[in-house]
Amino acid sequence: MSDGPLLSVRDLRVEFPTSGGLLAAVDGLTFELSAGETLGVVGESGAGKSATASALLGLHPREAKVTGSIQFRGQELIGLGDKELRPFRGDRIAMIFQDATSSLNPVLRIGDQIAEAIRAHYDLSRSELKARVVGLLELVGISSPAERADQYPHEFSGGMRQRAMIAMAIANDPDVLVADEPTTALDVTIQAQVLEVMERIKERTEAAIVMITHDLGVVAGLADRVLVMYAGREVELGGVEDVFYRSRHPYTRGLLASLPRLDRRGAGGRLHRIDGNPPSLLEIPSGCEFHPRCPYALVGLCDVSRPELTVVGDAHWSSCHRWQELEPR
Amino acid sequence: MTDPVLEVSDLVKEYSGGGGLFRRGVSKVQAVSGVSFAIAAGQTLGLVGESGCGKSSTGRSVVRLVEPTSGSVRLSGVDVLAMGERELRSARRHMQFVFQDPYASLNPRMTAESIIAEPLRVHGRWAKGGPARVRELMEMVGLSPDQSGRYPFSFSGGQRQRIGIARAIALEPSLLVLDEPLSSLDVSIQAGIVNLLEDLQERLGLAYLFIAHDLAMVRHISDDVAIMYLGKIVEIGPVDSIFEAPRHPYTRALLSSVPVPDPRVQRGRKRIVLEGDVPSAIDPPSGCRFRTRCWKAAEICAVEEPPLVVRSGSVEGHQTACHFPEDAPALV
Repeated sequence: MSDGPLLSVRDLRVEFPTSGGLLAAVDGLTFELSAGETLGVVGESGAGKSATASALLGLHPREAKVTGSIQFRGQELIGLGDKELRPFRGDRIAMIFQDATSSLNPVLRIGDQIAEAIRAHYDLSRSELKARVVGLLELVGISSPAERADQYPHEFSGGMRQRAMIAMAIANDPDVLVADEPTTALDVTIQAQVLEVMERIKERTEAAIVMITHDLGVVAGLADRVLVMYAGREVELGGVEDVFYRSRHPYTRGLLASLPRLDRRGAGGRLHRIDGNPPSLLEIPSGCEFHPRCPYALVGLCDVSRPELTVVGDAHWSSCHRWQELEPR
Repeated sequence: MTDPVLEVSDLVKEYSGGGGLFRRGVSKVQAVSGVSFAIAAGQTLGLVGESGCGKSSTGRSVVRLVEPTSGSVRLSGVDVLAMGERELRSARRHMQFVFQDPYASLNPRMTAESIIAEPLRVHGRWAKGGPARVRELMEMVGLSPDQSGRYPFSFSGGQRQRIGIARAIALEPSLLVLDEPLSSLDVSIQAGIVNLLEDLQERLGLAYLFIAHDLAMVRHISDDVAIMYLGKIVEIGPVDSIFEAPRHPYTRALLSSVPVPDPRVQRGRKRIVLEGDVPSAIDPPSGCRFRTRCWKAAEICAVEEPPLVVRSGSVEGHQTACHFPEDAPALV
């Protein structure tokens, strides 16, 4: 195997045609992913997180225009057709979806669905398949896995369905696991079950994980590195501690400061607020996309010139003209 | 507590379920099963729990958006459940509801002004200074009165929620029931709405029943917190005592499950993972309703329902419904 990164994304753009022209849901995303690493991708609605996830697996809608480069072990994936993507998708690169209920087939037994995911790529005997399915259900924390494999999705609890879907995603020991808001629709105690499983996968498998979420707590607990998106663009990328404790982008800092804390007394204190609203993708501001809401914005600079993603530290990038003035807290 | 603005005792709400073509409707969904709490002027009670725990049904029952099955609700001492239609309509002036979804709860064909003016018209307050009052209300919630002629679609989610709040405070109520008012908003927008709610409370002395599932936000905004599970309050008390010294196993599991946005802190926390799902509210477990998922459950838990009382070691007003309350120090 080469020493290069497992996954290398360069200047990824995902555009959708609209009556008003092309709308860029993702505009110039660049990052690398190494084996066994967990990258948290965070941002609010409309930041382009999910469009990124679908582009990584070639699952974007047909009308979307995807440009730039996504290389998996040096092989370019952009431009490949469904058939050429098949050896990768669901095998080397797999996806965990937000909603287990709609990603499981209600009329097929759970075990058969997982077996099908394996059979699509590997020719195993019945007994080998069965052992593999039971092992997977066990790995995601489902008790009596042999009996459970014979049940239908409706016989599973919500948390178990989510975990069964995760078992399906990791069935072929993927190199890259893309998880698109896997905890978002869940109640907090069910979310805990899923996070527990994600942590176990991180420990026990070699899969690199791309964890897409708007929950900064989930990222804080799980990610090695963090990519922050805003209005389709990459605003900061760095190690989890660099981004949380030494952020060099005003949006990241504002977002973190606006969160109330479970572990701190809140009485009387005011929350930090970010003025304004995330922009519509049809009306992306000129210059830096964040400048209308940014307390650091300079007229004549930030509203005119779009900042490049700049090295601001060791494996730490920010796209802010004034990053040097943002002292680590 | 000084005379409470809202006093709820033994509130019960059952929905008759089942029915349909092939089965007679005999089963009842026990959404709220005997809930009691009180809120004083200027205070916030955070009501939290997971989906289906009955927190929204409780909020809706309090203002009679749904009719409670039994119990009592007193607003400034007056029995709300005994009111007839006309009395209720005039009492609504004192208790208002803010909905979760500012997209669905505002009439798309009405301007911001007419939405905010509606309660004033209904309660006969439009003729005397109505338009001025609408402008004042818009300013109070941080909207520009210049935008009064615009329709909901031209406002952002946060601005729409502000319109909903302006409508709710138009008649100077003493109580606001806020049902997940932040959960459809982006993180960067939530803080502004929370700050607004806190300002309005201070200025107008409003009592808030704040229904939410975001525990960090509840900690920030509440004076007291009630934790619901399957139709019952399992623990209630002053906010810092609930978060720093929770006694109910469910409260502990719930708090331990919320990820904290701080890598060093979060990686040092221990998560209590509960097995399975919440049981059905049609046929809840006997005794303690949490016992089927509780690691401490013993025989007595199936037989006897634990009373919601102050347990030795808890501060005044901190009540826990558990036969075997936890006593170790807080875990957050």
